[in-house]
Amino acid sequence: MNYRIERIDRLHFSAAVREHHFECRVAPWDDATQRLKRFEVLSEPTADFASHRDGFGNQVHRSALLGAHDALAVRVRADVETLLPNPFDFEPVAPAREGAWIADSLRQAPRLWDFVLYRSALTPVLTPATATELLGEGDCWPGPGEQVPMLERIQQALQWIGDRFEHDPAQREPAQTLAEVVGRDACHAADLAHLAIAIVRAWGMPARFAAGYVDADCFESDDDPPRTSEPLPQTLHYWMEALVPGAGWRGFDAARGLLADDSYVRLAVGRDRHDVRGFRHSYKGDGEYAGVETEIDVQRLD
Amino acid sequence: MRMSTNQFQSFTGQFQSMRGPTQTPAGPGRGAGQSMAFHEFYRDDFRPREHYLPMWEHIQRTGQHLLGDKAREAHLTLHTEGVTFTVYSNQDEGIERVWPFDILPRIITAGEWAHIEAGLKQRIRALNLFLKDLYHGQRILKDGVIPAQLIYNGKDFRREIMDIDAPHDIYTHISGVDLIRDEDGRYLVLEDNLRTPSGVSYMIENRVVERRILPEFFARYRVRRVEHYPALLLQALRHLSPRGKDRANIVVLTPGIYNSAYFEHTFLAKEMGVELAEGRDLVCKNDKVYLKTTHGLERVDVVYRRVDDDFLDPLVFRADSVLGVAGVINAWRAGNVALVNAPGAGIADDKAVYAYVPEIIRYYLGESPILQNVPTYQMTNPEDRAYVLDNLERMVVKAVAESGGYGMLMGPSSTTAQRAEFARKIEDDPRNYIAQPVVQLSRHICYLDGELESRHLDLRPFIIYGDGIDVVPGGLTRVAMTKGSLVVNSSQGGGSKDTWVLAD
Repeated sequence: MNYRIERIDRLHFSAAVREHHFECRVAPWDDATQRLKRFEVLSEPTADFASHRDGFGNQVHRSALLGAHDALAVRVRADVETLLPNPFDFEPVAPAREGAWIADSLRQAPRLWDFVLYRSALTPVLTPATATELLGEGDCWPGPGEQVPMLERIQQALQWIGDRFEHDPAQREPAQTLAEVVGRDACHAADLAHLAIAIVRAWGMPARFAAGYVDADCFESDDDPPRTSEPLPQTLHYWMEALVPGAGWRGFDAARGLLADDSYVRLAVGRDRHDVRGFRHSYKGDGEYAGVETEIDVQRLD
Repeated sequence: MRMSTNQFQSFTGQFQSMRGPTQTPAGPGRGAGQSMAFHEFYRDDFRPREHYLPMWEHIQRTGQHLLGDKAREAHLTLHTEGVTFTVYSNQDEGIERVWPFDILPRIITAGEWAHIEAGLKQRIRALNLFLKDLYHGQRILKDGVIPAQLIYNGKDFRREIMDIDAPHDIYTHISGVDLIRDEDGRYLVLEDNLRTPSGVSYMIENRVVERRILPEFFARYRVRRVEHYPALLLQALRHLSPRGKDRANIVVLTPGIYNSAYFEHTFLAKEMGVELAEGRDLVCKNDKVYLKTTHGLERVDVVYRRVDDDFLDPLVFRADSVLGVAGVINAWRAGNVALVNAPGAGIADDKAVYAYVPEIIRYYLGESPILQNVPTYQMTNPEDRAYVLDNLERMVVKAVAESGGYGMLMGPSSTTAQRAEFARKIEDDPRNYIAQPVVQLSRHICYLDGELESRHLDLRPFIIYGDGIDVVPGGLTRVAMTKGSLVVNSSQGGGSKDTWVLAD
């Protein structure tokens, strides 16, 4: 499918700042699952942009405003063609060989270890003890299972999450820790993605955090209805990607209980949400950062 | 006045009593053995080694009281010259101390030095190839020579700099490699310091003071120079300039006066004739680094940074850092500035990676290591861990990313409570610790409080990698000033000696 994405981020400061350096991860990926056909980034005040890829493969645009300013607007326009209509369309690996497939992938691409080993407050080590502590006596995280294809295991984990946690698209602030996530009545999409990542990493499988856009209106009539019936607002969305034997990276949207297909546009991936922040900046001056307002418009062109 | 016979006997008696055997623990796959500290000065028959004879004869002729005068003069010189270091503890007593210096030099023969020099050059070549590989293709991990988990769990592995090409593929422009001598007198590498190793200014000041107060010693030896270190360093830094060595504008970036090595930062900037800057003095613009001056911005080509990776660039590393320069990593990425040492070099001196350096040398160079490591137990290895936990009182346990003697357990002198604390730390985070059997560091005579006493010591030679690799002939000999102690770090009360490398 083809999408046009227009986005404006307006950063505000309480007073003038200067020597303001910033990096943004606002360019959709260009890879086998989506093609970036056009991309523009502009700022107000005007600044020149340079770009590079970070260690996770994200496109980073960077710039600086040395003079005094108390606001910065970054405007992005991107045309993207998504190329994964059916995430189940791959040659599966026999369950008995999946472990070897993963091990081989890690050997060939050691960078994947980041998505197995990394632990943080958002993606901590999950043990029976933490399950008792966080979920209560008798409850536990989904285990790796045996002789069950990994894709199925992850889907079961998503089901487990869906049965216990509610996604609220109106929830604006993601949690700071997984303990906070499990205590929430309504979760942010990022919260549920982190929970899914922690579960899958506990199985020794590579899992990464993904940020991007989703076209909430593109379900075909014969699809299962999405878990959340209300339309998603035009906002950033977050999901988990896991390395599925035989398929490679596949997106799993714990907020909606779905596999990511061509209605998902990937912007950035990382170990957790801190790696995929849209903006990172540093500045001098008396002003304090007062937040960012983001407007997103995702239009299907087909 | 000559040293009296009684004095001499008393000293040699003490020497004998300190040579009592201590056990080196047997680990899994590592045999047991008795250990006695090698004495740098004395042979086994308690006569001075041949290369110390001229010095010893001179001391005998002139007498010990003269050494006392010289020691006081040395202390006064260091005090008036402002040669100090900073300690972070005992702050109620002030944090600045006069550099502790023992006037009797350590002497290394030309033959010994040739071996050390070849070993260090080999090691630095291999470690730079390793760093380039780690931040690019990761061939060594793919080939399973080093477990990828070890790297990816290392806190000094900087994934933020993946795929950035360091100028000339050099990551460790300045290295300080700590060497010790085992019971047989073999030089072993105790640890590599590849981030912002300090001590070189003290190496030079020791020599300046020594030349001033003991000119008669120098008359008896052909000692190789170390005072040209700043010139060598400047030459190497110029070589790195992206605009060519003739247009190299260089700054030393310091965290400021509260840093323990601030003396060294000012010393090196002054000696090289370059600007000493703090982060606020620099600014990045269009991926270039500039120094703010009274006549405008001046392009900077080389930043010899003495600021840790974490604080170097708030845009990339710690966002709350006020010590660094926002945008400097991107300027480096764009090839517009050289950063010395390169960010990310710290993973190669991670103490858990250290154990693999012999394999790293074989892998990249196809050579056998010239200098051996101290045997090291990996706490991520269950067998090693169990053994170490059962023998903590005979181990030195080190946190893998710490330096300066911090985060360390010295088993033989530890308390039960300290061992229990370290056992808990190891169990909680095995990747963060390694252990080594206690190696009896070699000893040397020191003139302390009017007496000649033996103390343990190590050696930190400095290696400069610019247009070729230069090992400065000498280094900082660090001395454990407390009797029997094996802790030589200045931050932990250690002292120093001048190190003489003899010409052929």
